[in-house]
Amino acid sequence: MGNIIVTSIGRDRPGIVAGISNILYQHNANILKTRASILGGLFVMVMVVDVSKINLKLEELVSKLKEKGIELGSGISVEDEKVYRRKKKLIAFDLDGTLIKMETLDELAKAAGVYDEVKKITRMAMEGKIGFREALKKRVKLLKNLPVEEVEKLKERIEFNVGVQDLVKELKKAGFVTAIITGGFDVFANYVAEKLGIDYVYANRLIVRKGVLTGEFEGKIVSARSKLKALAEIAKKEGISLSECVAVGDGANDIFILKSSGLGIGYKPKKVVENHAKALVNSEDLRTIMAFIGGGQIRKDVIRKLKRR
Amino acid sequence: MEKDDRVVIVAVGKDKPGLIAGVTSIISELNGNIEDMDQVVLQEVFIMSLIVRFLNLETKEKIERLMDMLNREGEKLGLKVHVYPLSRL
Repeated sequence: MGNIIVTSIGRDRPGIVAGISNILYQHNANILKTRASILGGLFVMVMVVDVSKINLKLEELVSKLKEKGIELGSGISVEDEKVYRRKKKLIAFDLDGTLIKMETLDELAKAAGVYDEVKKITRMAMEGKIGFREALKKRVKLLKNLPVEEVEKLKERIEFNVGVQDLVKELKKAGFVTAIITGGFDVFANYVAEKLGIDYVYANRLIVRKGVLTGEFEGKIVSARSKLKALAEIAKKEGISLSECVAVGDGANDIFILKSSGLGIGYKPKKVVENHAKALVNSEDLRTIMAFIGGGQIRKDVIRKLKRR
Repeated sequence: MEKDDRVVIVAVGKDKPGLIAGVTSIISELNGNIEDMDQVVLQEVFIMSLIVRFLNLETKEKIERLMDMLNREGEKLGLKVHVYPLSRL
């Protein structure tokens, strides 16, 4: 096992270095190099840590560090040094709750007057009582006869999460291929993609006949595995490996995509996601993500010195 | 003299786990906020420099107490620790 890179980015407060370094010390990890600074109002710390003599499993150390990051209110990432140094070239975002504030299926359900029934099915799916595909089928069926105008009207109410436009602009400037991979619907995903200039959209399509929803859908983005498959497809087309990909998401169906990407970022993640993402961002502001990816000035300033090793 | 709450802390010693934890825990106990930090291991020698802001560090006693605590911790860890108030540099 080589070294790990621990990055902490967040609002400045006393105790961040002490908190992280104490955990490393307790488990006999040796910090080889640290650089920390306040940059753009954020406290950024990057550590290169030798974990060859640790007294517990690496996964356990990683989850302790992530817990600490959450406790300190900072974004935190723990990455393998080799993967960390690979340049990232592609980024895939989840839609609902990640790029935008709206949970679009909930809003569709409200418009169709079937909110409570839809919520009930969502909950069952979350608890694992029914599969994702089945749950999606059942919920879309409840939307039958909803006029298309109602769907279109919802688009105007879409709000981006804080920092989304800036983040995507910076990513594009840095040459990233960008994608939305969502278990939601293409009407919203395409709208958002167009507004932000996103390159790829993978979503499901609500079927419309005579101006109303038929209660059916087509599309394959119905599970955590299918999201990963979509990412792999884009990566292959672009000639990029999965270790050069960044994925950002918050929900159970993002688990595989977060786990398999070079850098998986849980953005305000649900509890089940925390263990599968290398980085956790709990702050509202998505621009923190730019700092993690390393394209942003913040992390560049910090790692410039690290690279001299 | 212009008021400046910042101090430079430099620590040097033989590298082993726990050095950063030891020094920064004391800083955090005393409510110091690390604003800049650079740490490296060169041929098994641990070298760390910090710029730390302590609110209301005006009084001489406080600075002396800080130096005292850091020196004592440094002795335990096998580190030489030096503290320089920025206002006196």
